[in-house]
Amino acid sequence: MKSNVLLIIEIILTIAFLFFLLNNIIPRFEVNLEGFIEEDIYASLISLNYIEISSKVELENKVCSILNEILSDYVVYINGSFICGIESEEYTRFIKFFYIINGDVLYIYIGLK
Amino acid sequence: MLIKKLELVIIILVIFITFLYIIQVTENIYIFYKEKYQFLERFLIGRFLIKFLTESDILSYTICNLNENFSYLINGNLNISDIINNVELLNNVRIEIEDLETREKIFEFGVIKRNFMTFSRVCYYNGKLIKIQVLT
Repeated sequence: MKSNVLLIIEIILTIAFLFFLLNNIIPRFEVNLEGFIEEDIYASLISLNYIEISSKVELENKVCSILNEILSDYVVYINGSFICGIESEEYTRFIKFFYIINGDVLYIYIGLK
Repeated sequence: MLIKKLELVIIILVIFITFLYIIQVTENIYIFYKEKYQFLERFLIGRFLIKFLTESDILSYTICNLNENFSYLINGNLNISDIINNVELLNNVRIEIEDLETREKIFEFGVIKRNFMTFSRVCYYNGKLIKIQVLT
């Protein structure tokens, strides 16, 4: 009778241990793919250097149209003033870029989610 | 004696159930990694193709400054499968090139399927800006 009780306890413990062991097999997959959007934006902004831009308004239009093609959520500041996009505090990554028109340096600041 | 037999039967039963359970867990892990592998494969193929089209020496002078070989590609004189060594990369891939001024698609390759990711770049070509899009 005593061994009978021990047997049941043993089986319960074995099953509990096995379930604990097997349920803890969680497959892990962690690869950081962030950063490719920045690469694409830099490559796209570089193409601005090959076209002739004469005024600040033209530059603003070009930068906004380029970003509009690539991203859905972005914000653009040029020399600290808001140009286009959606202003929000959720932007975590930023890109800095500059362009020179008639000797004036224009600092372009782009926020990404 | 009866207890011994019962113990044996229960042990065999437990081992059998555990075996089935391990098979199920293994299958789930396999499916999980297979999906992740497919995702990574599509991602890397897309990155390779967009970088190849915009940065390689064959098609561009510098980054996003496309040369005359690119016009052969658009006209159809140059086949994209001729300049990529591994043609299997072009399975399940769609490439679209759009003129940003006229909003006209000047080049299309592949068919629209269940695409995982989209990579787009805006590049300078022949005096204007064009949008290159790779869907993988």
